[in-house]
Amino acid sequence: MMRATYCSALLVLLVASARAGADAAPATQPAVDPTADQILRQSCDFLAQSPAFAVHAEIWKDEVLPSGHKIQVTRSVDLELRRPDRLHVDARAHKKGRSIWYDGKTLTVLDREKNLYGVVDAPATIDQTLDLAADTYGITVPLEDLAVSDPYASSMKDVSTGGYFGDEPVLGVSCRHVGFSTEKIDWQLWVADGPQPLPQKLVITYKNEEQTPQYIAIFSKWNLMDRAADLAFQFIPPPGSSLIPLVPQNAGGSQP
Amino acid sequence: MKSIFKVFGYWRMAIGCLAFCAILWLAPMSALADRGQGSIRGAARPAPRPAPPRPPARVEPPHAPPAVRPDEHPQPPRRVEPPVRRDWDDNDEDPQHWGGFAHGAPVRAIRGQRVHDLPAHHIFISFNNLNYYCDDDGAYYQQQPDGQYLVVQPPVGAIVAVLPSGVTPIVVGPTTYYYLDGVFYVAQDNSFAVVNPPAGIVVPTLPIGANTVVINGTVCYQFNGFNYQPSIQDGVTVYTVTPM
Repeated sequence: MMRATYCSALLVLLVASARAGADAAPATQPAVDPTADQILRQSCDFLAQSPAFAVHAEIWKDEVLPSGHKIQVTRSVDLELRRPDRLHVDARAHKKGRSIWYDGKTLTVLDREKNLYGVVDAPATIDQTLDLAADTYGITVPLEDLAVSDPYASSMKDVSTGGYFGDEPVLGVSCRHVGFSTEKIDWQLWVADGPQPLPQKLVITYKNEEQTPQYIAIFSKWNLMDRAADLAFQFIPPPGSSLIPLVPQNAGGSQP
Repeated sequence: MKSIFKVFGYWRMAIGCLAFCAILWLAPMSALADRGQGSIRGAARPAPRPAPPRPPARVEPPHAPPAVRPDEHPQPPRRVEPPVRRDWDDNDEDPQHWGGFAHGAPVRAIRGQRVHDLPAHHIFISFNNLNYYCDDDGAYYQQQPDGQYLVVQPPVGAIVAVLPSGVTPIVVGPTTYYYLDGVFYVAQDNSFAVVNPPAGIVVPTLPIGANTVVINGTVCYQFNGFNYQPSIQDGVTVYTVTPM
């Protein structure tokens, strides 16, 4: 009888201490499977150590329309970079497209449909320029997760849980499938299983939004380079294009 | 033998309790937030500027507006589109590409278009000694000498009972303007009045048929007595409207 009472008290203490631990430090102790963490870290380190690369991505993105229909829109994105200070991204959709060039000194945004472009001074690195684009100009550069100098730290910043879900092929490439969760999103990555652990597929699920839309990117045409020519990152105005102001967020008066 | 069963019993209790602890520990991990647009990094950024208030889905006036003689036919409610989400790689969809299916609305009449017959549901409007016909979607028509009908710009001062589909709400100070193809509407007495735009209002699209000009070396567009000065804001091209 005494032993039973002792055990019950012990179990209550266990529950209380586990609950207190969860409340005290939920963010500092992410429950990430070590294998998943290792797979992601290897891939991110490989990307971070690649001095220059180019990649093509086919994007499928869910759009939930006001009518309630969830449809899928497609676009393709080509990204090329040279660390630490060169970046070029082309995004093309049906009839339309936008591109950016970062040449270490300026950031140029081209609206291909309207043949208009804006230029602003840019800081010294890709990371700083991505932050400038997002924070000052409201521009989220597609696939920016691949471009930052430390993809691991960047993508794991808000992760609370993560797991390894086994091996699966993506377009014929044997991959290791990992997934991570933050408060806002669930994201999954398929990393090539081999000497070049490059991402082959990315899925982001916006789990708190209505109908939980997804963003799916399939990567291909990885081209790892020791050096990429300056020319790839220099903006040459297309014939007939016009320079227009690139206006910081909240500086444009009324907003549609 | 009995004591072995007793030990197993305690172990079962302990395992069950540990599982319960694990569930409690995992419970606070999910919360609410918004969207980041194809970027894990971007999901951590603060939410963008809140969207302006949406216009009413459809406002029916309690009585017909002045100078308007309704033929008949009560009109069904129609959805007014909210503003397009403003992300760099998220603004390339063409609503017409979805053919009206997604929006639950017919493709609207385009200014400059000629039609043999008026839509079945329309009203006659006499304004400034000119005769117009207005359809359910707020499009204005004028009869031509050949008997056809031309879709025209609604005149400033005209009143429409409903907003055309596809208008974009734009907030300027205390006033919400509704913009579509060079026409600006404001709510007025349970209907909507066509007005001139306030100087400096920013619109997401150019009116069809706007002329391209170069002013002080900078490209600009002109339509109906107003300049539409392009700039890139939030990663997309928009136009600041000022009088010519």
